[in-house]
Amino acid sequence: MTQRRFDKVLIANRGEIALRIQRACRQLDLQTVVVHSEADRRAKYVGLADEAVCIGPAAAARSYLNPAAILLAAEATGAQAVHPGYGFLSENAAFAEQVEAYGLTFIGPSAQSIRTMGDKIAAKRAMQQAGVPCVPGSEGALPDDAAVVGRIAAMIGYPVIIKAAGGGGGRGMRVVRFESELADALAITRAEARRAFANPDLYLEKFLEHPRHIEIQVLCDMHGTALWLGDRDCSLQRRNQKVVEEAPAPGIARDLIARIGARCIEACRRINYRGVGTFEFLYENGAFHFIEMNTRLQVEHPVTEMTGGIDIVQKQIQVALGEKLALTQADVALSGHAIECRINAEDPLTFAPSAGRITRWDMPGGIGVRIDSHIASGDIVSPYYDSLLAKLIVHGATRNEALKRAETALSEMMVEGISTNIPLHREILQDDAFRAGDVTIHHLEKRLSQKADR
Amino acid sequence: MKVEDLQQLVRWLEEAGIGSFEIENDDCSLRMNLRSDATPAGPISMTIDDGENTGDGVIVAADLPGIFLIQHPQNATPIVPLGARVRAGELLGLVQVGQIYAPVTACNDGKLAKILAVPETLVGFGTPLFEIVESEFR
Repeated sequence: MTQRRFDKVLIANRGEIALRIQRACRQLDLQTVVVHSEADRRAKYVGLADEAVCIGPAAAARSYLNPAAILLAAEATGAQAVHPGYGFLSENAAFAEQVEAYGLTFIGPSAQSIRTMGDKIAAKRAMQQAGVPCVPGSEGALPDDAAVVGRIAAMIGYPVIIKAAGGGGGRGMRVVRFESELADALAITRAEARRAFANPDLYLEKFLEHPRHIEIQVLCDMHGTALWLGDRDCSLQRRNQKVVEEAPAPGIARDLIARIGARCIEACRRINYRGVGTFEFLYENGAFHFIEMNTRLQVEHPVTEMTGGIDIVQKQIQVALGEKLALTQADVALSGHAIECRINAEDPLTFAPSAGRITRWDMPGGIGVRIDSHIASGDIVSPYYDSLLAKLIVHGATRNEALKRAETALSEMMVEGISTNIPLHREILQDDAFRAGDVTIHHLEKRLSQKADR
Repeated sequence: MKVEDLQQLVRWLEEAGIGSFEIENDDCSLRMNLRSDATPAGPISMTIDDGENTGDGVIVAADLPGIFLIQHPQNATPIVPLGARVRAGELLGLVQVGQIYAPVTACNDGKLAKILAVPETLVGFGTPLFEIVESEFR
């Protein structure tokens, strides 16, 4: 038997995704090392790992965001690969480089790919060259002269949105509806971009008023195979945070999505992409507009797994092992419909994070119901991190069947000791517009503000 | 490296009275410990605690992940024997990560009362390593 590139994986993340990655490693007979902060010492997945090592205090900056501590843990445990999960250091090109410089395998794309896609101007240029449709906007970075920017904005047509090249995920952007607001908005966004992303470059795009958020999951190996595994609709968001995701996107012609999927994998080939990734689009009036590419695993990857039957995390690791994907695009067949509800530790009305001890943790089950969670009854939810407790993922032969399963599952789900957004999910499932499968990215916020006004 | 070379190295070490030897380059790493009758002169008794059960003293914890050592690999005796008086800043042990040996030092004056982690095992940030109690003799 030939020797594998690695047989011990260090998981540089926490929460449900740390457990998800661990499960994928087990399927592949890989040893796992979980690194954790002091606050996560007693987490279930820490106890399940082959080895666990505390790398720092609760503050993420000194633990999960500390490359030196993670690399020392890899050295001390003999781990040969690092899986960054999502968030934290997963899209940090410098970290990917450091991992490789240490002679370890970074389970993700090359630092170069992360860097290109992290610079939204460079990413957009790469997508345009590959024929991926983009939102009409400025060519490259905006000049400093506000008058010149004014002419560009007038050409695109108001409203426009100013975005920071280093931003993404809803950060570093400002909508401008009138020419009179442009100069101030430019100055403020540039100052913010310089401070938050250490990159003052800005660009300008047409602001779409009623878009949906549709994304395409891709998977590429290092032997020239590039596949798209399906589409997801993640329009139900609050403050740019996804709340409910589903696959496939309801009500969009499949041949249109297939054409976009094909463009995405063409773009992957051009930039020599490897691993998993997601192309995010705004969809309005029957047209797709690329917004950004996430060069990592997504929180919502399970809805694609449920409809495509492919273990995305396992495939991601196999690609990093250098294996050739034993799949062709023709093997990727989608079946039924899947919906994911992100269960967060937060007040369902005010959305304030809720910390404390979980005294009851009753999770649903049955056919077509999957729970991805690191939580057990008695666990303490700490205030230090993201509030995601669990992902409820349901699958049905049709969207209606999936909706029904989600309803039943949510009615069985009982969490006590802390507040959760389970009541919000129950309400969303009764929302007529959501049930009709045609909501924009502004729908949930609008609905919540109407409710607050009543 | 051949077996004969290793044998030659052992002879040289014995002649020179060197207890251990370590060499590392890109292709190989070699570590030799000669323990003929190497009962360390060091701690007569050693209390190993299994976790966070600690007494009244001050706890010295690891501040990085690595292998906990109470003696330098080139030395058969512990850096500080149990029960010895120590001064703030004095070296108590080491945390080894690859070729790095990070010092673990006393945070105050006192007596080294306990060794709280098992030597030569993996420790992480915050793992209690030593307990120092205030010395009665000042």
